Amino acid sequence: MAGSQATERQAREVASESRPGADWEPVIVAFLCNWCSYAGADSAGTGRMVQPANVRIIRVPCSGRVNPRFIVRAFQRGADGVLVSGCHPGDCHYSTGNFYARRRLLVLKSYLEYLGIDPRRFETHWCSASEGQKWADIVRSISETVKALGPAQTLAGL
Amino acid sequence: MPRKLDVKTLGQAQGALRAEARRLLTDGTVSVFLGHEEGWDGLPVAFFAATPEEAGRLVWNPLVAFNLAKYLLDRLAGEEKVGIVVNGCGSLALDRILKDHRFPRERLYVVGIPCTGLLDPEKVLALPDEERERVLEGGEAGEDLYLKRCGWCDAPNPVVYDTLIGDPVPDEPVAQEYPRVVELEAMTPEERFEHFKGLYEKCIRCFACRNVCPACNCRECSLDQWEPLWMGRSTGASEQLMYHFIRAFDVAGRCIRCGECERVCSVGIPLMELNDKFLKDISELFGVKRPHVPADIEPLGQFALEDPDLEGAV
Amino acid sequence: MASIPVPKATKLVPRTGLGAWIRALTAGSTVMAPVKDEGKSLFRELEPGEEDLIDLHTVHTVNSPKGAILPQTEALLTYQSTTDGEGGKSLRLEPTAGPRPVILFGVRPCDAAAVELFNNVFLTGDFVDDHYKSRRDGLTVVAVACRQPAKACFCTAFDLSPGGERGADVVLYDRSGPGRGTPDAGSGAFYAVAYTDKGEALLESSEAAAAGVAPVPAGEGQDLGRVVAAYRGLETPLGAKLGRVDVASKLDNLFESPYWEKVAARCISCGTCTFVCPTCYCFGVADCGAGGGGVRFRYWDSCKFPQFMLMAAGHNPRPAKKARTRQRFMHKLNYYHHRYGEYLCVGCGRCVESCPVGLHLPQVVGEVRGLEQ
Repeated sequence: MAGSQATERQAREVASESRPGADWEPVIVAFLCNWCSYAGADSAGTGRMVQPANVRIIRVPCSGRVNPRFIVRAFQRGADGVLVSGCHPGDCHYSTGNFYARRRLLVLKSYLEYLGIDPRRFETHWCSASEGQKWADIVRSISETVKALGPAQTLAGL
Repeated sequence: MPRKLDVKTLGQAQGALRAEARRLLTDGTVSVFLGHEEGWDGLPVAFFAATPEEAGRLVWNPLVAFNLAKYLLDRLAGEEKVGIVVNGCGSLALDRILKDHRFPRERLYVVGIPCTGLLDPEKVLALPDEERERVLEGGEAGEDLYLKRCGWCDAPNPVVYDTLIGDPVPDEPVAQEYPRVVELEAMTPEERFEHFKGLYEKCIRCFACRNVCPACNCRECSLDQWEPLWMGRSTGASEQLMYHFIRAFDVAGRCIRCGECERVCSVGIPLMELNDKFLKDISELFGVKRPHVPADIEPLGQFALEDPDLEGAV
Repeated sequence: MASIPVPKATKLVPRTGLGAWIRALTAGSTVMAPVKDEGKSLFRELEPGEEDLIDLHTVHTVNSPKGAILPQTEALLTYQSTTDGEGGKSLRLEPTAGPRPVILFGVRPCDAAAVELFNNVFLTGDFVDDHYKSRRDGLTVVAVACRQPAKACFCTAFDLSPGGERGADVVLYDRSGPGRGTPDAGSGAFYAVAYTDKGEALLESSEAAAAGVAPVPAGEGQDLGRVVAAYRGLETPLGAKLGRVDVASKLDNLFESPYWEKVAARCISCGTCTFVCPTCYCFGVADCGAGGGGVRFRYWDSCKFPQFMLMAAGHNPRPAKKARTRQRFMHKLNYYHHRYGEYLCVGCGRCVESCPVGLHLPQVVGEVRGLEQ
């Protein structure tokens, strides 16, 4: 169970950082495609673009790899916002992965809202490796939005 | 769409079903026949007839609510041919298993019976004796006695069969509506959060909803895995959120809207509130008119270039 | 059947005074009771102000009250590992806080008796389960006799009765005696009979008196005896059909019977029967934690689940549905009987009512009787 404990640990660390207070900062989990958005985030960093430090990045091989459970899991363990970013439709490294992702996440987004999770807490973007500026803007925008919304509601566990 | 029960036709169907099953078991077409027999309280229970004599115990009446198709998974091993009886929704369940490639069609012999509506066994059982008799023998059943799924059924005739018993019943399109979802959508997110929290807290996690579902047919369920541990073993609203999310999302686009999950829920969780949302969204977002009818490629297993885009916030 | 114990105290509780009495009980304890919830009756903790939601009419709650002594999830201890400056590691274990006393209010005599069956397992033999013991010690059981047993009831098949006192500290008997329907909520009363010291204390407390728990009027003693005897003499519908359960020794030779294959075919391997059952007590233990610290807890598990016996190395001693189905019935009707001299079933009928596929203990008992050895 070493792996799941590691996941649990990460999740709990995320949760424990997310305490309301005067200097409260939201925790946002971002799933980034290795071939575009992850590199885009990197170029935003190397380009020294100013961006808030609320986003925790998890690299995935494709936005199509993002199982909707990942997103619900992040919320379950206390994330205040979740972000998925992949290649622009048509530009997928695996040609169609992001098209599948788009359909699935479209349904998920509506479903999260249905479950009572504010839809503004979950965003999906298409951001290529060269769009460092766009990445910085995305991070700024979602950080501000989620901060204004306050801590996300969570359910009691053990 | 509830239809008038025709007791005479049902009786004839039962006779024909027994004869057909007897024939199949006698001539060796099948080595076992999946149907229903009368249980201790008079309600039908699943029955596996293995001899021509046992075929005489098969029953067919408006209380055969239970989908039999899921039992096929128990018989995957081996080469035996299996007979099964299905009505409309039973055939959707069977088609689900077939389209998911979970049982070979060539090992099946399907006897189909057109359906004139099924009654909720629990409600019928609760009726006073005389009234129950009037319902079952006179065919006088009020709308409220029918299973919920009959209200939106648009497949009263079996979609898969080798032999059809009786004539097909009139088969009109029924607009798929999701009133409970619409009602919930009109609430605020906070109200919905509280509403679903109440459902999670009630859940005793017996897995009846998962195990009865014809779309929940994976070889190994990820909810049973320890690694990764998708659902913690402690019970509480948080883990139940994960449970019900996983269950509902994994059947999204494959749910046949039979409502068996909520019918078997012992604590009475209205699980179709979760499933119907996916059906509604899939039909609205991707233009699927009958999202509950198994298709060769499921809505979430494909894409279209013109799918709505979802970049950015709401 | 054991002789009927002499009551320690008898009182009269007017129906209209129940709410006040329960409110008084809530002050010092957690009260768990059957509560009406969207058409179903569920056993759960009573929130303040919910006294009037108590459902003493429905015979069976969907779930059993066993959660009061064996919660579905129960923290056992917390742990934290620490590393000192030299790299040495140590592990600190802390017991979890003791539970609040619980009053089970309005359980049926079958469920009260089930608590006693748990005692056999958790309190006797070489090992006493501390967590269970502290919950059991803090438990007071106020049972209510069944005016009209449900269709699926068969407690009488196990020498229990709709008016039995086994496992109960107090039993409430509706003064109007057994019968159909609900007596008018606005009138009527219960005879409250205490069979234990704990029950006596509960009835004799000043809080009870303040809430309207009064002495039985002089001259009504005979009525009381008659009413109690009527409840004790009630037959149960399925119990009458089944007769006294007597299959323990017969099952000794039926382990390999092909019957189990047949009966298992219908099972869908859900855990409904085990989770609603007041006498199923199997549990698993797991840790939930992060960063070297966390909680060790136990949780209800079910022999019906294919993973129940799955071992770390991948071996599963009960891979087939047949073996799992057999286990449940053999445990209740044979293994437990060998060890403790009684059956692990109280005939509540929940499995009969809740099983999605109509597969339940009374049916198996009936069929086992008909099997050839």
